[in-house]
Amino acid sequence: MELDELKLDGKIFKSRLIMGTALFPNIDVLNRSLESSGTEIITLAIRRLNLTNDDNFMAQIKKGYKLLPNTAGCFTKKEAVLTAELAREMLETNWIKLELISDQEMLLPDPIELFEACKELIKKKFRIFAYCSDDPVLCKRLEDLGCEAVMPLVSPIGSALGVRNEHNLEIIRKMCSGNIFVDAGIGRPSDVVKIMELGFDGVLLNSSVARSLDPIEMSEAMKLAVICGRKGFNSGMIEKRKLACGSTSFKGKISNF
Amino acid sequence: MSEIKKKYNINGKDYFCKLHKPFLHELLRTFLNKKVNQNYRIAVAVNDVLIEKKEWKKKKIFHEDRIEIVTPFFGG
Repeated sequence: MELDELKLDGKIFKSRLIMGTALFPNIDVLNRSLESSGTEIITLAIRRLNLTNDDNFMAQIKKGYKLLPNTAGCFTKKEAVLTAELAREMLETNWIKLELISDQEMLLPDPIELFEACKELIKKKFRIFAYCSDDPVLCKRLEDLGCEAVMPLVSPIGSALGVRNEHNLEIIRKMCSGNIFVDAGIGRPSDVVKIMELGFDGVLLNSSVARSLDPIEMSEAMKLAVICGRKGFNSGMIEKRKLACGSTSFKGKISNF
Repeated sequence: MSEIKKKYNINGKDYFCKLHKPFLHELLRTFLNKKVNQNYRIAVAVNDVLIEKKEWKKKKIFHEDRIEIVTPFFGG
């Protein structure tokens, strides 16, 4: 089953599913989950080197994925810009998933710090994947600024609450013509189908797969959900209506009695 | 008489060593002490400024400078 291709930064991708690498029970399950998801792009964090453990991410993760480093945990533009620069130096990629959170309880994105950080990083030639709230105007402003992809949440990170404001998503899709991914809040495959049916370009998943009872099986379910929703969107779904519209003609039926 | 150790701050913790105004690559070599092989990917900032690897041999480190050594980690 193949989908229409996704173009990011001039490169073609077959999968529309970006996978996070945190919270998996162990490295083997992580690698097998990535494989069964069919993903081509994975996210990673930038953290202080810890000499007391042997968590060498690059040595443990299977090769061949396009790496998308993030700025998870950053609260300020200054932190995020330095983290992005460190990531680029270390991983030789100018891709950055820009996350700037405003608080530790809800982990909601800070739109003002995000916007300012985007402006600076674009000047420094980064390709930005901007994690943001589901505010259509903000999404449009980020797109106009030159972000490679805009990535609104549908509910708080790791909440699994799914789509809370479908109308906003419809407006975002209508206002933004570029790549729009949903980044956070997805809980189950049906959320993914809904998002993809709305015409979004893809989804980024982590908790919903990694914290499930069977991440390998769940990642395949998510892959199929992406395909299902995208194919539905591309097929031109019929409009909803309030009255019935029979599929079988009345013509030729036996008379009423 | 023993040499006075200098204090640097590495990854948020005080680090004392005998190196006096070392170049960054010298301090890294001492701090990492062969625990990190060349397969490790690391990047370094000094006082909140990225120092590219090609500059490590030219960058002087001073008493109480703050050094961040980072590496890729599992993340979403």
